[in-house]
Amino acid sequence: MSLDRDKQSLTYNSSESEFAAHVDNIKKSFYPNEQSLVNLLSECHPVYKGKSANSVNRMRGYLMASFETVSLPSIALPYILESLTNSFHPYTVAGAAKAVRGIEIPNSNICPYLIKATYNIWRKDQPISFESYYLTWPLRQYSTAVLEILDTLAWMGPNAISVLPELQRLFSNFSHKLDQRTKSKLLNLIESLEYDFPENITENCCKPIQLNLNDTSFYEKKIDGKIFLEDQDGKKVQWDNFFSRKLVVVAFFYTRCINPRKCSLTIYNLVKLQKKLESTNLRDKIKITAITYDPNYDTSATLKCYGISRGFTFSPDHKFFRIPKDFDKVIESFNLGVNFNGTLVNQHRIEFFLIDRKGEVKKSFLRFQIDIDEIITELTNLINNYSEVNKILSKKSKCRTFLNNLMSIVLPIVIAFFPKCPLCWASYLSILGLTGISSIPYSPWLFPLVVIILVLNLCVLFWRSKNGNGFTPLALSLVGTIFLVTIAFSNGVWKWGFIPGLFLLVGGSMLNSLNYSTYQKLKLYFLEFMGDGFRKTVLKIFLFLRKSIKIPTN
Amino acid sequence: MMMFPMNLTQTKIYLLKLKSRFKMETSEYKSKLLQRIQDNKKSPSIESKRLLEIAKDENKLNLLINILNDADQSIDKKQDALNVLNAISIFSPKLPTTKPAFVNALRGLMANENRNLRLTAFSCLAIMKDEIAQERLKELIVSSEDESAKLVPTHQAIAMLGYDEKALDYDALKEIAKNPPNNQSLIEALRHLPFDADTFNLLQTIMEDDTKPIEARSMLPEILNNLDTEAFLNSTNRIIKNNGLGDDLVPYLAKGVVSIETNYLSDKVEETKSQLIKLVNTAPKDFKEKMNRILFPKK
Repeated sequence: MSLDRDKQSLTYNSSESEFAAHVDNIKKSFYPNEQSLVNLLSECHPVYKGKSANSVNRMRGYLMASFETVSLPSIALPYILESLTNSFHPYTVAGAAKAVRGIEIPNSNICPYLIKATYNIWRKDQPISFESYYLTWPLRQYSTAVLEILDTLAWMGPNAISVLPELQRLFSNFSHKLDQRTKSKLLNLIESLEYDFPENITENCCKPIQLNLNDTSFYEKKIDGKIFLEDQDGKKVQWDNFFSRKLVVVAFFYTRCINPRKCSLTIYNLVKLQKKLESTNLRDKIKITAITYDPNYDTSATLKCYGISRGFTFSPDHKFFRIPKDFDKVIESFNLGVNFNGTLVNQHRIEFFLIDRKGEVKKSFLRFQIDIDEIITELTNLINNYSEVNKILSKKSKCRTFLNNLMSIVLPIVIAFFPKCPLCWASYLSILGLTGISSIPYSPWLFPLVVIILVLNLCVLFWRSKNGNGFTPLALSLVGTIFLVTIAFSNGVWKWGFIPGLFLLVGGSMLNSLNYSTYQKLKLYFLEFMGDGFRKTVLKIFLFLRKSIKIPTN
Repeated sequence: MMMFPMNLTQTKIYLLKLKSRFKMETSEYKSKLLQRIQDNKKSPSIESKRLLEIAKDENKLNLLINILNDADQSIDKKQDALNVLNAISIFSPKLPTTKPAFVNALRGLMANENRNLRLTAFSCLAIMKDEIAQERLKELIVSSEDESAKLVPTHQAIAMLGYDEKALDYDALKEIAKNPPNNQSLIEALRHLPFDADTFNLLQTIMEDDTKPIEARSMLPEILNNLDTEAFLNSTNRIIKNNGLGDDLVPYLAKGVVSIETNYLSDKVEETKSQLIKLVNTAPKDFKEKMNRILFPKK
């Protein structure tokens, strides 16, 4: 609810100054609504739409810094730690470092993230102030991202003792590259950790508290399986055709991403996974794919180059995709943490998903790079679960499938050949007359019976269409039924309709009885024929007619 | 001297000759430059010594940065301090340690009344891909203010943003190319515009418009030729037919036609080539010389 309210108060039309005022208001209020600030941390919040990457980084940095005042809830921690791990933007990193000081109880598990952030940022540090969103330059007093990190480590107190060796290494190796202010602050921190705290460390102090890094922002909405994907070779494939039959590891990325800890590393991790799977029995059971956020820029050729240069081996089960149309639907279904300025990505998170054989998301790894061993364990568990469930269900499902298929073929044939009118009856009698049973009379009560069976057949098709092959088989059978019923009312005038009606009715039912992948292949061939072959055929007929029909001229 | 390349082989042989001559000239230049550096190492000038001292001393660097921040210092002194900092920024081992202070001072100079000081500060920040400067420059390129009243003229702002591919706003560049505030801005916008199907029509219109500056138009023949050879040939034929020798673009069009590498349009290419040859044969001597210079530039 609060997310909706926030989305209403700050929309994609909201300016940076409105955003800053919103954050300032919450910060100043007596009972600050911290949840409202947490909602703004989401990368896909509409307020970031249409803003430049620089603006978004500044907005998020300012927002994160406000958690120092309003206190940092545990739900916001993944966002903060992600920024410390992956961001190379001084303002964002400084904001994240300040946000950590909003935690109720200092946690030593956060310290390694702060050290990582120091190495990310120290070479490109900048003057920073969070006094207000808009600043007048030059600043009289300013901080930097590294100074903010050191302040946070100092705030951690004895909890930072675990990173003391890292701090000492930083000082001994790089102090000549730090300015006087940073150097003295680092030295003070090291000294206070070395001399003061060992005495103060008690049994209850500094026990690391497990961090909950699960991003709860993920939810899944059923994706439209008819979306077309284009692979690195320019070949088109329907979503449901690729995301079926096997488990799929899918990552999202874009080739223009300049953050070495994000998209590039994501692909390198997929390559690692690919190589590791080669040596396991999962090799032929897993598909690996990556989909670009930037389908306009990332053409098939670009994707191929990007993959090859990082050692990705392309195969029918290992592909990179772009979605030229309907990428919005994918964003919505996966609730992807990405936002755009026009067609340019202005921010995104790291996103991996495990998709099962039915195309449903089973597990997501968000914000942080995947641990290859963890993902292999997950995949193995999923496969083991499937095989157990499959053993139980296989016998039942085989019987059910067989009966279903049998019924869906037999029923329409029975209906089609059932005598529905005096004319049919006469035809059958003329054939059956040879066998000597011509004396069976036509009974008018059989007609309503046929209609009931026809309706029953349609109901079965409708029921199966939702989980089966869609509405096309139902539509064909419906048209066939209309033909057959019309014959009955036309007193034999439209008897020619019997053959197409029969074909449509049986055809629809047969299509419905096909398994999903065979049906999709058939559909693709048909669409290709319609798209290319059909057009050419129509053109040829048209040209032939134009040649043969001579239009008289005056 | 060849007047006009009749076929691709002839052109290639000629270009190879030019390349080998240019290689010799480059190596001579390189050795002279190395000699000069070695001489300087043996006896650096007083000025160089002074710069080296400043570059290694954090306190001296801080003093110079303080001059930039000090509102009471004269413009000349600030300009000198900035020039020194700018010069040593590429080799100073200590300047990166004082980077936040330096960036703070430079951001302060972005609104300075003195044009030179302001532009130097913007230029330093743009090279560092500083986001505050980039945002300011982006605001300036879309601003409807008069060019003389802008903190940085549009063409310079585009060039500065060009240091960072991601900082350029392509919609704004397209708009500038459509309605440029001046010729320089048009040229700069064209230098940074992406060449794709979206911009093709705009580029074609500019190339065919003889009221646009030749510096802008001359960039386009080879680009358009790579994007859509057939459309480029159509444009070339239109320009030859309508403007003839009166258009300064003709030599550049010839250069574009010579560089066509596709085979499927060979008839059309040959037709355009013969049109150009006919035109050049009737041209005065100075035009022919100009054409030679463009087709076979001397290094």
